[in-house]
Amino acid sequence: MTITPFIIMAIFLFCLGIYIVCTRSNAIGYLMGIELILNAASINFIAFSRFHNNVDGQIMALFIIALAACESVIALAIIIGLYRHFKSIDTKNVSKMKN
Amino acid sequence: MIHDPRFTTHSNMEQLIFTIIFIVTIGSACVVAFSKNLIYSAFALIGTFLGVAATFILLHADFVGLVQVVVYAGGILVLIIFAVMLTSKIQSGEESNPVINFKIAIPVFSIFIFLLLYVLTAKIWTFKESIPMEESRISEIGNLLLTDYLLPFELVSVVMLAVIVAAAIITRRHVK
Repeated sequence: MTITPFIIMAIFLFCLGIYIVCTRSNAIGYLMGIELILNAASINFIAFSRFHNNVDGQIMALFIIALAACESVIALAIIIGLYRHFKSIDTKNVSKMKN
Repeated sequence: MIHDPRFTTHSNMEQLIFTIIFIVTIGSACVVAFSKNLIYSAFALIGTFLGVAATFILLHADFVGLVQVVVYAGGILVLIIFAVMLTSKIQSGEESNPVINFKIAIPVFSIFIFLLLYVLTAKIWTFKESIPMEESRISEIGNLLLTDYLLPFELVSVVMLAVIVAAAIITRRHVK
């Protein structure tokens, strides 16, 4: 197999993630889009590391996974805090910074 | 390499498996993107994460694939479903995942997809066929993580400590 089908898969995942980030007004929906984009990035890293025949890309993918876990933990903590304060996680309602 | 019949059947099998993985991954990613219900999106995310893990294993990155299953499908997804259950009003039956900015999203989506496919077809990569790899390379990953990539590795651990503290502080109740 060549590298092209893997890159095509990553492109589709990335564009679906961009679409989700554009269209969702629900904060958890955003988060899912961001996860799709990060997954597309790791597919690219691992595909190129496979076809360069070294493992640096796999290490980058491990860092991406670790940082994505951190990012989603913080985002969900913020979302639960927002829900407690505003009783909604719709980003149209949650636009006040103070008071 | 091509003339070896064993290798060609192996390659055909690989393509068949990749096709199945591609359909599952992109199909469930489409459900995530276009579903009106947030719960359906959250559960369809399982298919995407497992499909991406299978892609990693197909690319001979077995360790990263297993980490993907453990961390994404086991950790992040449970967290997301937990947050969905906590925050969305399921009982009221209203649309939990409304679509906004549809007129902006379609041009952005098509521009990105055409641009990236254009870059892909520009033929700047000269990989011919995949090199068959027989042995696992996990020990190499471990060696590199503790030699060349030691500083980012330690930084990730510091970031995780900060994340634990921050999540505990953000979600606590204010007691006066």
